[in-house]
Amino acid sequence: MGTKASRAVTRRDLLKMTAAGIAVAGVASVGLPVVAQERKRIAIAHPDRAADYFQGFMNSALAEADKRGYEVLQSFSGMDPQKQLAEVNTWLAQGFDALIVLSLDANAMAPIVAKVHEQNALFVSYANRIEGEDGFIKWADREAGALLGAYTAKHIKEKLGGSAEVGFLTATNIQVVTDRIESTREAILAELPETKFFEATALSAPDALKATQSLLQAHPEMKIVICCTDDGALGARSAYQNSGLGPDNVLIAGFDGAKQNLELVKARDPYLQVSMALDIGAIGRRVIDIPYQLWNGGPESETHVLQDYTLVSHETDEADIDVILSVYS
Amino acid sequence: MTRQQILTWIQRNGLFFALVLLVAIFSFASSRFLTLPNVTVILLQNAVIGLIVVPGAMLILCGLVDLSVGSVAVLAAVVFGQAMENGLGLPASLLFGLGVGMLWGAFNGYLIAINGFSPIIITLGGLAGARGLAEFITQGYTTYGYGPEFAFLGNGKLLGVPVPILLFLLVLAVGLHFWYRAPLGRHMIAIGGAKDTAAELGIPVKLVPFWLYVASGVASALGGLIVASQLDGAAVTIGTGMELEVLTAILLGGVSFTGGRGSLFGVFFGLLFVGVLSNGLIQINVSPYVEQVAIGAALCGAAALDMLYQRLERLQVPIDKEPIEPVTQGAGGGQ
Repeated sequence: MGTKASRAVTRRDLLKMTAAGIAVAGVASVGLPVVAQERKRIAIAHPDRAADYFQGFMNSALAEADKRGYEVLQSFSGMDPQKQLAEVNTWLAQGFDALIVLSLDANAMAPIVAKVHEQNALFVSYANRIEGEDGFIKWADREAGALLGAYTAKHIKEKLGGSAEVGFLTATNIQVVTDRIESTREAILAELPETKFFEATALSAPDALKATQSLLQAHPEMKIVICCTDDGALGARSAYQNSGLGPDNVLIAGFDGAKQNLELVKARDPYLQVSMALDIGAIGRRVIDIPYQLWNGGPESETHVLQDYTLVSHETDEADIDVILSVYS
Repeated sequence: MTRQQILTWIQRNGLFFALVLLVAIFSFASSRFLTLPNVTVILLQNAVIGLIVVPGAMLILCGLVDLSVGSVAVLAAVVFGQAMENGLGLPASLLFGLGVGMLWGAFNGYLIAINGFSPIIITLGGLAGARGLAEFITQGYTTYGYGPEFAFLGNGKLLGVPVPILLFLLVLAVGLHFWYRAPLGRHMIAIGGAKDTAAELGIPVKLVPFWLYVASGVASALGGLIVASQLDGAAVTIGTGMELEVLTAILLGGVSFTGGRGSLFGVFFGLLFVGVLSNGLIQINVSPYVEQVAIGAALCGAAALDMLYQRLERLQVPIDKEPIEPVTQGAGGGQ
């Protein structure tokens, strides 16, 4: 009896399940595309998750996306150009409506633009410009370098008697970084043509620590170090602190507006005096706003964005630094 | 030392002469290069890598490898930073940091040495996994400001010598003892050269690599903590590319990647060679573009030296009627 009953239930269950399956599939085929169409997907290929500003940037982007009802795909590829391409191709297979890319290899990324357009999606460049892009957000790196160069020249004139040895910590394979450093050098040379420059490769704090230690051995009179990143500036600061040389009119500067650097500048650290800060919160909002503007016929000024830096130094009001720092809270 | 032993040492330590040549070139190019402060800086800059290189070279001598060192270093630093941030205090936080390295090393050792998993796959997994875990823990926010007691680890001095250099020299001394004086040295060579035969001879072919992985994990963690101390911050950039630096020193030092052959003195010279090259190029102010080319050339030179080393070993050394003495484990650079 028990066996009979269980067979009857099984058949009924099978019928019920089949009917339910057909119903769910029907609803899904009709309903899900409607939901997908309403909720646009924006893929953000920002590979440098280790950057100090990354979380602030992402928080801001996610908040803006939430406000506009968009879904965000985040990158986990890391700093390997091949992995970044593989990730973007995976997203292409999944489908998205807009792609924001901090391209690690601009040449390799160029064919992706056509593939994105084939899917009627948008390609927005981040930091590096790619031919065929629909929009971009880029930093005013050269303008920032000019600003920092002028500030440094003023420091040399006022505090170092008009002449100084300047160290640069750079990376030759990243366009953003070379723009920052070259424009700084040009601005210093424009005012002080006799300035001597020394260079080493260092992006991160540990590398910058070693590079600055070596530079200081070769040039103990060097009072100025310009780093292509804020992380590097922290390494240079450690090298000076432990070199036995006093902070006498030393100027260490970096780019990005990282939290620790801004707090050190705010606390008037005797070594780390400048951070060329980007408004990370604004950049996060912009990467969501650019596709929105493109979909809604916004003006070019809103889709082709050159983001300015703010020179944050010992002369900057603490309240103003707090505003920039608020993105990290 | 007999003439044969001297010739044998010369044959087996070609890198030492390359290092002397490099030092001579940089000394000629820069008057500040061969000074005590700069030599101290070179040692200081390479002390962290040196700490990790010692167990790393022993693993490669056994025919194994640890590619997760840089990621374990940053994970240890980050765990330490979080522990400090949560008010656990310096001693407990240090133990947490070192403990993470030890556990990760034991995990590697358990899978690779005990269970026979591929060392490259497992430690490559660790390379990605440990760094990923560090990024997950920090969520991008660096902790910093650990106070002067912790700063002593990276920036302090004992008897006028920086603490990281002292720690490195201590680890090197222990490593040299095990490599050349203790049975462990012969065991490592046997495991790397012919594992099955070594097992038949009763050599603990699983336990030796297991403990070497634990040592590698602890050394990596200590390295990460030293860098965190020097920077006074547990940045997630700590340890980036460290595995490549470690491998470069070891392979440049002549340890065979397939195991069974190598010299810890050679590794020490390899470490110094890379350190002197990096420091010297900055001293003479070469363009960063040229710097990368020079480092690339040094890597190619390492491969060429390894080949030359193998060929020189096959050459017969002329003997002037001296009785052949067995080369002992204690002979510098012998193996």
